[in-house]
Amino acid sequence: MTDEHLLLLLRGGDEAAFTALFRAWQGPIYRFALRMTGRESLAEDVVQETFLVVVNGAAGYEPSRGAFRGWLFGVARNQLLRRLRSERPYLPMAEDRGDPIAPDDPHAALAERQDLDRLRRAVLSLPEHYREALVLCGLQGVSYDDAATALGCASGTVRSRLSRGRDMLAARLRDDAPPPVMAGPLRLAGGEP
Amino acid sequence: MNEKQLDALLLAAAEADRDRETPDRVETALFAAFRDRHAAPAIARGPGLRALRDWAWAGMAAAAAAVAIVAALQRGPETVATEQAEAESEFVPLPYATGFDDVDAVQVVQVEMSRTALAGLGYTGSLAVGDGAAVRAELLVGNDGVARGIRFVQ
Repeated sequence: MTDEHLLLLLRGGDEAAFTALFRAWQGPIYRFALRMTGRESLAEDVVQETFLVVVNGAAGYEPSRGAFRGWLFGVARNQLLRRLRSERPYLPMAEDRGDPIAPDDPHAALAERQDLDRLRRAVLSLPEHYREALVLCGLQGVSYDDAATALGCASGTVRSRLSRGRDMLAARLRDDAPPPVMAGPLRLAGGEP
Repeated sequence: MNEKQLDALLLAAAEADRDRETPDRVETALFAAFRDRHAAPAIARGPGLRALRDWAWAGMAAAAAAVAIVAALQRGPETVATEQAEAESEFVPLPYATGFDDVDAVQVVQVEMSRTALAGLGYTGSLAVGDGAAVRAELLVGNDGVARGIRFVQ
């Protein structure tokens, strides 16, 4: 059953349809908001506000303008921008707890976690337009067409923003690269080999 | 960092995030809002059981109010003010919130909100206050800006 069909049922009060739509899309919407802001509590708020629009019948959705999923990301994006703009005078507070370290190979897991932390910091530092395209298409796997519906622009614009965003991200990761790891143990000058 | 390395890192980040989801409390609140939204038209269609129950409650409330007014006239203004303050309900924790224990400073914010918005906050208890769509309430907000509790103003 398609999202659009579920939406029709939901508007008639079918709770199972709402359950199916919520379970299908709460994760992607949450991760989109989380990686756009780095804040779990704000991401939760965005999911809640986005799905309250759905609860109330998703009145703004018009199938002729694109798929429901693109529209849903667009609602989330609007909620996100509204919150970010209202909070701009305050310093952003990163509250993402990060990923747990795997116990079987803690060194490799720690290195991977550090890489992911660097990536997420670099994503958060991108200008909004590029960050949106990168998080939607580069991290969430959203199609160019759905991203275009969400962002209210042409899919060619999404492609160019994604490309520019990737270039900026790579440059920032190079600037933020950790020092090279030493191959062997430290030796004091003049000491035993 | 070249294109391949960037692709690999983005893929690893997406994979690491795969299980990140909204906490259950958000789902609970949204389902409450959904039920609230779709239960309302049933009342409007005719005098069903719920509507009759509401009328019964309204009648009882009116009778109680009349008794209270007569009693207040007999006792004087100071007693009335004290009892009005006591008539406000206690703060109850919001289902979303972690409770009151982890906050060291709070503010009370007076609000007027729709019942749907209230359900969106996660409050699913019965609302015996207010006579329309809007409800007057006081929110207990922690110093982190998160609403922790609510009480209804008569």
